[in-house]
Amino acid sequence: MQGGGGDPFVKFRPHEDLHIDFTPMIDSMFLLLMFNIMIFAITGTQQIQVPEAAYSKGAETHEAILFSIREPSVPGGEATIYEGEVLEDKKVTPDEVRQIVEKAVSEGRKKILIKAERKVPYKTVLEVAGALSSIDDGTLLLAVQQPR
Amino acid sequence: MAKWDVMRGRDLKQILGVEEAVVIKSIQQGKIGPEDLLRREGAAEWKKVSELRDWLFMSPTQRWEEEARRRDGAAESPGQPSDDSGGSARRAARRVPVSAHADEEEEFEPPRRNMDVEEFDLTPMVDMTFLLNMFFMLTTSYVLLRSIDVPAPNLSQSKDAQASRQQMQSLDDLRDDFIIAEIRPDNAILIDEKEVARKDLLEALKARMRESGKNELIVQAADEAYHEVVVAVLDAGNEAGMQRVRLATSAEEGP
Repeated sequence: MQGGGGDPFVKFRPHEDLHIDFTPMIDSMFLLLMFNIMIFAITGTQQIQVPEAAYSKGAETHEAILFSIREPSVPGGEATIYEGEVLEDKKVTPDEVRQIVEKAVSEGRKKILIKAERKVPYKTVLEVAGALSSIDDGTLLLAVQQPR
Repeated sequence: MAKWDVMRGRDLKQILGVEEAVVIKSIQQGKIGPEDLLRREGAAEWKKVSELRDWLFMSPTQRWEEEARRRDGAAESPGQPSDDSGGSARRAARRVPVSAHADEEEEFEPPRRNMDVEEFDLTPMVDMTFLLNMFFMLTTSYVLLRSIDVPAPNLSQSKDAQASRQQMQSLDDLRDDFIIAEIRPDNAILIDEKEVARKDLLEALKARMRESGKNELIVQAADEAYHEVVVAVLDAGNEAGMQRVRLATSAEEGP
């Protein structure tokens, strides 16, 4: 008998145990997938085409009171204001904007971030920004994106 | 219990499907000689009894240990032939006679390394993961939201509106200290009453700063002006190096 006492009728082929371990790759793919899903959920709600500006800084979205403004569907029409991101049930009027800001200011937040579309009339932006008029050190942040 | 095919060496007579216990007993009794041939039932290759004798007389546990040892040895030094003489000695030392305990040991089936394990086929899941990743990579736009800071305009809506209005100044009062950028309802831009094309805005602001020595900007936009034009003027002011950029508002006529 050759090569020890193994089953002589079963030919031992060492290369049978050699294989590429795909586990780390699959793990990485899952991590990447989770990252993509989370990023997609965050950016998926961003339907506002904000103006471009070269001199800007990262928006402090967590500190500011966010309002989104969509441009009118017809020229000369009224722009729509939303509290937070653009969601149908988040539409607000300028009076409601003022109430929201007053409540937020009482909680210590004194910044308004306005995410307005490019063709929003300046009047509407001022209506939202005007909620800060009564606040001494209120800051207005206009959302922009880097030029492409 | 495994079955074996037996072929007598002298006349090549075959007996098929013999129980292993019978084969072992026949070898012990000399009915099957060392020159006779054996193969697993249905296998293609025949081997001499003399080659298989050690294997046949091992208990299942010993066979499994030997198999594992042989595999480990091959994995550590696959190119080196195993030392059969030492192995035979060890096997002889471990060898136990086939006894009444044999059946008991037969029932014991240690876990085999090479046993066929039913594995989940992960290929479709990995394919789907790749496809989903590609979808998200292609469709997600990683746009970082940025902002420009502007002092909040005073719209004279405070409780003290009257006082606020009294503090307001007209643009003409401010022209001495500020560069005034006006945006008309048709989105035309005027820098200190001189119309400027949007693409020339930066250069016009820089030139005006050099000419006038002023470095503060006030942006006065019409209600109908587009937000993007206002932002363009604010951005140009920042880029030109204005120390302060402010938004002007029109005073409402009060009672």
